[in-house]
Amino acid sequence: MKATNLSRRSFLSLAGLGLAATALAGCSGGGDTTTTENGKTVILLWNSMDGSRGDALQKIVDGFNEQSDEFEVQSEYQGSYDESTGSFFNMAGGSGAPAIVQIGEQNLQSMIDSGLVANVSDLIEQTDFDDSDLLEQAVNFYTYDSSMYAMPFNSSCPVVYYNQDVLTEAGVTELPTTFEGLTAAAEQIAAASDVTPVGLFAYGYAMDQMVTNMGGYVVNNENGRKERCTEVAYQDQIKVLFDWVKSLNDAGQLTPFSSEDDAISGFSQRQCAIYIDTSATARQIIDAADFEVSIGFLPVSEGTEAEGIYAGGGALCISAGLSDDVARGVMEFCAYATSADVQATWAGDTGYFPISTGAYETDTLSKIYTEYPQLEVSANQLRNSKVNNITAGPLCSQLPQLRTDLETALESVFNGGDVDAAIETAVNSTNSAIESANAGVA
Amino acid sequence: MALRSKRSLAGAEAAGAAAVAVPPKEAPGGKRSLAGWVYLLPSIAIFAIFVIYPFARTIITSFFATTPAGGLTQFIGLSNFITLFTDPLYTQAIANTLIYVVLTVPLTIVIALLLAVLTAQDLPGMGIFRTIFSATMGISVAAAAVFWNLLFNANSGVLNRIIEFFGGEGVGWLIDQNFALVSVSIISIWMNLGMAYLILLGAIKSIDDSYYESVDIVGGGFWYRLRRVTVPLISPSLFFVLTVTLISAFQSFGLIDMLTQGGPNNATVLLIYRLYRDAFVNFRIGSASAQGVILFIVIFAISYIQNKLTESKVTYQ
Repeated sequence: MKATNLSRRSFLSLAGLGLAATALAGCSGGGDTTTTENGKTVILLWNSMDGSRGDALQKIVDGFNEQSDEFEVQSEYQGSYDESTGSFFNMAGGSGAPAIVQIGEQNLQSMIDSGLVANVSDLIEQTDFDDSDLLEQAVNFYTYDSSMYAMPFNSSCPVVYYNQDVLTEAGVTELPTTFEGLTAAAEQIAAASDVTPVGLFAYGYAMDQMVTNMGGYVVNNENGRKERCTEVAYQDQIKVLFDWVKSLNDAGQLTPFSSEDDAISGFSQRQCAIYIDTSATARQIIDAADFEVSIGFLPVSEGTEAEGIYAGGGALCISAGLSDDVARGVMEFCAYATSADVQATWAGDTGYFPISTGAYETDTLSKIYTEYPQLEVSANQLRNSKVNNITAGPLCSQLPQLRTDLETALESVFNGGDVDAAIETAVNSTNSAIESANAGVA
Repeated sequence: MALRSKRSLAGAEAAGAAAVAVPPKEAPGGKRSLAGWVYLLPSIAIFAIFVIYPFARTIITSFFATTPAGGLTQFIGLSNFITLFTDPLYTQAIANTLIYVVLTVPLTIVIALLLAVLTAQDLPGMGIFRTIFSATMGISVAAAAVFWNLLFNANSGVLNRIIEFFGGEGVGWLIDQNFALVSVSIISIWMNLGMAYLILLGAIKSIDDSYYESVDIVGGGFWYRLRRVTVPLISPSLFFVLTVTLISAFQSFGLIDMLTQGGPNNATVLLIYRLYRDAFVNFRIGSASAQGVILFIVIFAISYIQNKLTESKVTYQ
């Protein structure tokens, strides 16, 4: 009887100790290299590519693994860019943290601030990586203080989609490039057909790209490029945009959509003839529509020249403090993933445009552009962009908040709200977010 | 914990005092309390790691400025809280949450109660209705969001088609800022109905028939039966449903995230959704922690008040 008691007691204390040990083990640091059965060094890659884009990425990873004797990249889907960035922060460089994490352009400043990512420029120097072929517009975005903090990988930009059948029917012969031109086209469409001319959904990324395209800084201190940004700077350009939206709305020529999916299906079902969305979905939209789809540049005000856009989309951040061996493997993978042919195939599979200039010379891409000339338009929008601090794009840890606030403001305009009041609310909310975020990294 | 161990020690001493009558066969006080600790260790460890530590950490973080990765950089006192309460969008989130709670909780319970009362009678075919009314329990938030989104679609949704068929004008269910919160509330009521219904039905079915026989003898009607017999006798279950629905309403997240993302124009930003955005999208961990603390206080206060107000009305048999 007593013996049973004792053993049960010792069992319990053992169990308790075991539990504590497990808990502690979870906290211990990692960063050690793992190898596969056949002796290849494992490089963990976290990605945010779902569906067919995930398959396209896997193709790149498989291609790399096949030609490498030393390294094996293991690619894991980790949810959206924001989710995967959050998980990366939680790992804090511990064991199981990835060597490479794919981020969205909105996560760049947070990644730099966290101190968990490597200076890619240093790695480029150490490993003799040839970066001369990278698209300068893309490098411009991911560079801060003359150091690049993420390897450009998948770029896209917002563009204007047109239902060409409706345009032709309404007698619009040329794609508009200005807000005034869009308004005129909308009036012609409204007169000639019963399709609502313009459909929009609140899309923060498109709005700050339009600010850039109109030649404005999205945030102060030259888009946060001279020093850390402290407030937004988009007011003048956003007002032009919102006034335009309001005039369309008042004229009954605007259909607001509740989400991107809603807008895509609305456009495909002819609920609107013109709408703005990312070029990354271009193939999907062109393939799904039973009418001809045209793609045009983002609009500017009449009489002004388009500045161009920044290279949004995704890029690859590299963990800080990798062993030399793993770092070499990571850079080998980057070299492979940004090489001309791989980028050309990737662009064709997805709708992103290549971030290496060599890709534009490949047969693969020219074939794709012959079949889908619209895709070339969106690539040109980026390649024609000037390279300066305006088109470097906003560097701001609160970019997600900035976009949400702009989306809210636009929705308020959709609902008939006052333009100036809507902008003021957005500005105040974002500025206070930037202030509180800056307090944490000062 | 110290308090509890003292109490258990005191208990042991009391047992020792009573030992005159029944001498303890087990080991004396000190050793026993050690054994008690060992038995408690697993649950203490789990609580400490998964409840107490995160809770304490959240409270501490709420007083700090943080890095995007959640590191504490600078003590800023109540600054996070002050910023929140001076932010009109945050006060709007509080208002939205309260409206949402007021819209969903009472209606969920009243509808569930009515359906439960109606289907509690043993008539042929009643099983079918009981299955239908409790069916929403088996539907995930994601699936519900998908098909309600189709129903609510302003351009092609079935609901607007029906309204237009009868000559009305379609409603921008999820895109009109005056309707969005109501639309989400409708879905939420529909989703929570199954669970509330099932619990209340179970409670009603366990009421002894003799009570209703007494009502028949007195000659009371439907409302008399409901008010004087059914509701008082199921009051513990009602209380349970009320508490659970209330807390889950404060923590509604899935529907908002999938249907509106807080829009249009912040009309459906609830406290928990705002917290999520700040923690996992904007990476302002300090502010998000402060919001967690506020949400905790709000839920605690409302649960406490509700407890005080209703406890005298709840009768346990």
